[in-house]
Amino acid sequence: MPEPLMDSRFRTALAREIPLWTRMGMIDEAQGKKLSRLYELDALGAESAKLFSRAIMGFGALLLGGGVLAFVAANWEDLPKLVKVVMLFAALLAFHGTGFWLWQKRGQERLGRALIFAGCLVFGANIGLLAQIFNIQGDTYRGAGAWALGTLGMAWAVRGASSGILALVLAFWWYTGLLGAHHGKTSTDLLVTVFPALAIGLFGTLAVSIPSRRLLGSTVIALFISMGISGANGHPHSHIPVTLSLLAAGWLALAAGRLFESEPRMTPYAALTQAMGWGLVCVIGLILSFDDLWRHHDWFTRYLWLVPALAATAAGVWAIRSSLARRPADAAERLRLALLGGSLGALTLALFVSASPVSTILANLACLAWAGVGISKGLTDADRSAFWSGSILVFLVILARFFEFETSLMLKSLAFLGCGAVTIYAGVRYEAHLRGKEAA
Amino acid sequence: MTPETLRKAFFAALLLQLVILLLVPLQHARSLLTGRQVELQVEPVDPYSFMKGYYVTLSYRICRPERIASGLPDLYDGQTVYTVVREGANGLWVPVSLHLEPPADLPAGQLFLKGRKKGWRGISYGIEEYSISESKRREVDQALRKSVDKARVRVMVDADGNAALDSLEIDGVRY
Repeated sequence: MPEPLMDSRFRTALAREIPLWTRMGMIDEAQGKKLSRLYELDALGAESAKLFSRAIMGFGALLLGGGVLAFVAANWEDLPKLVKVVMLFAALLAFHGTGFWLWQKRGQERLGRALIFAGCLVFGANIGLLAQIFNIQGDTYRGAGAWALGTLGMAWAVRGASSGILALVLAFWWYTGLLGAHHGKTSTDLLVTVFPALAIGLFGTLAVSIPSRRLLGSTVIALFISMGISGANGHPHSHIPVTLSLLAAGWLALAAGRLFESEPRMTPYAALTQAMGWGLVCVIGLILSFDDLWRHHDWFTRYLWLVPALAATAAGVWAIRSSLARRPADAAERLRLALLGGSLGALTLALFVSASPVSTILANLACLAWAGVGISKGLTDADRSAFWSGSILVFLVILARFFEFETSLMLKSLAFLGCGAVTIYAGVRYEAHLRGKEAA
Repeated sequence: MTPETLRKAFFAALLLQLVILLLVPLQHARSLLTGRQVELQVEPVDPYSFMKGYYVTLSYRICRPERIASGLPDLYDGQTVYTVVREGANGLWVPVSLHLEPPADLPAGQLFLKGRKKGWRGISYGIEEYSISESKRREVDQALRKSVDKARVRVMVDADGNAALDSLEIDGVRY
């Protein structure tokens, strides 16, 4: 039998409603008393008084803590090194220890987790303060790396989303700092190659195990950026590796999103992952649809970027195959998947041909095919965001062509007016279509 | 996750953070505790920007490869070098030679410092920034402007050449 909801806000509202229901004759007094007993409504007054006194005590504790901090800060310079070090370690233990005790022994999970997160911030501050105490001079990114490692360990231990996001940001700080400081070294190239996999392995799996949409979204962004860096590394004048790497990342996100749809535990993450993958491939397609881009660029000369790009592509293929085995596609979705895969292939071909006008035409066709996929999904699945993203993509492609090529101002104005009118018309028709579906 | 597993994981993560914090000053603590004492003359860097926040920026003769020896190969950024120093007049240590490998069998009275080429700043030994408390910032800044030729640092150097900055002395006053 499920437990009654003991949320204080709900119980307060219930205590307010029961007399009203009794007066209106919806329930009798005996039923009202039963509800009061079940939800322990008589204890509400004492609870709020306790909460108030707790808040007062918490405020007092904050003032005390502030006083101690101010006292330590005022005397910090005169303290011996050893005392300073002991105080830093004590602060770390106090935050983590109190947080864990409140969570595990007093059942105050939210406050406990907040203190553990604050402990991770104290850990970072301690790294900086230790460097200051001992006059350690070094690259800031290395400190960020040490901070990321300790914070990631704690995030995994307590399944903390905030600590996980902090660790991800710090890991990126370390990663980019290392790239800047040791650019061109073999070890750095290897790190660039494996970082996308590390991001998924360390942070993506943590996001799923918590589970946390915030952390998963941040990990997908980290995957995109690191894939972009992997392609751009060593290729300042060629856009082929960077765009292909990003396309592979977008494809992986789209495919993973479909796999998530067929896995009940992962369903809440499906839409987010797909939307991010969709957004990325559309942006890349739009950028590549400009003819000028294909006229000035070099061929790539290094091949290490192919490792993460091919791995992401293969992982995407595996995810699609697994998802189809669990939830077969209907005819409309099969067509959309074929259109999506075909247009991604067309764009890849455009990149390898790398010549105007063939590549330009292929990129524009790919964008229109994706727009078709979005609009079709919007119509068949009653998915508004898919419909609108597809429609917007069509208009962006049309407007981009009008701005790219020399056309008269009148023609540009007509294009704007036409796109605006068609957008409104499409919106009205689509809403009518959805209403018809709902009625049916 | 069971409460027992959570407890174990939490304490393991806490231990990891403590170990990382211990590792941060380990190298420096080792140099300070077991190293040989070396005193170096401070040279002016940029008299208008000694102070950077709560750090004083320092430079030494050993930071400039061209002032240690002539005819050296070009050093690339990040390259590790070993600078041999010996005790000179007034207890100040002066550079003798520069090596790309750790020098072996040094005569008595000499030791080497491990450094790394860092762009236009020359060779860095990790002793070019000295932390100064807020209350002494102005005093140190003024003292350096007035008597940079009388400024010296005490450095502890371990057997591997790792240097740890111990203190800064300007015109007989130790900071």
